[in-house]
Amino acid sequence: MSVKTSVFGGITISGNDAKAFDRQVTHGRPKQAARDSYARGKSLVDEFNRKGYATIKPKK
Amino acid sequence: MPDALFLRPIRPGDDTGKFSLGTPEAQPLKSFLKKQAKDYHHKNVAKTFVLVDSPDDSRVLGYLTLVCSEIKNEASTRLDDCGDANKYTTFPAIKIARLAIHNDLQRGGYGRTVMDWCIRHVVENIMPHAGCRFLVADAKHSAVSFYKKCGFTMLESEEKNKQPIMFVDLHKLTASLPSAQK
Repeated sequence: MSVKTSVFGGITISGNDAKAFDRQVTHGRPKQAARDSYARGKSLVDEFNRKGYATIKPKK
Repeated sequence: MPDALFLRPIRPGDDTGKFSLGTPEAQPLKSFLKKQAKDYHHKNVAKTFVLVDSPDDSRVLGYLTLVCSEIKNEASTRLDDCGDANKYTTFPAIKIARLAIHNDLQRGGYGRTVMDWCIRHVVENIMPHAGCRFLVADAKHSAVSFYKKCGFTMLESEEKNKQPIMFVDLHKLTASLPSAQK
């Protein structure tokens, strides 16, 4: 049971951790926070794709 | 705190020397920015995006580094929406290899906005052209709550002292969106 990872490489999961990952992927549902983050990112990516940079205002 | 910063790809002339994170634990993040980020970016090993005061300013105030990655699950992963892929144990991913904000600007909310950009950027600019089912991060323990607030799931590992693995299933994320948001 382990997780092996390197900064610029892959992640290898084995043993009980692997079963946990399988369970989380199979039964997991996207979090609302991820949907919200994706939605907020639209204007940032639109600007980045158009201008080559995005204006980053702090999230309060 | 500035009202806004600007996120753009790192450039050869960027000033990385004054970047400070304030803790010895973060030394590898500081060292990477100073010694490797520019070279890795231009040689396509790892892509780094920096926060600066204005688009043409060179002093780096924060950065995000992305790489192609994979998740190998030795027990095999069952994708309930793509059964034929279940014969493989490895799935493609994009990894957040580095994320750091200058000491003076931490807890200002810039990191959250950078993550908004990152998730959308991966879905909109990378996923249409190369398979990447997951967005993953090797989080420090101190950053777990940050990634959870951004919508990441933490791998339920038995090894509590190891570096936590955080991930987003990008396909399920996009599949769950109302069509108007896609």
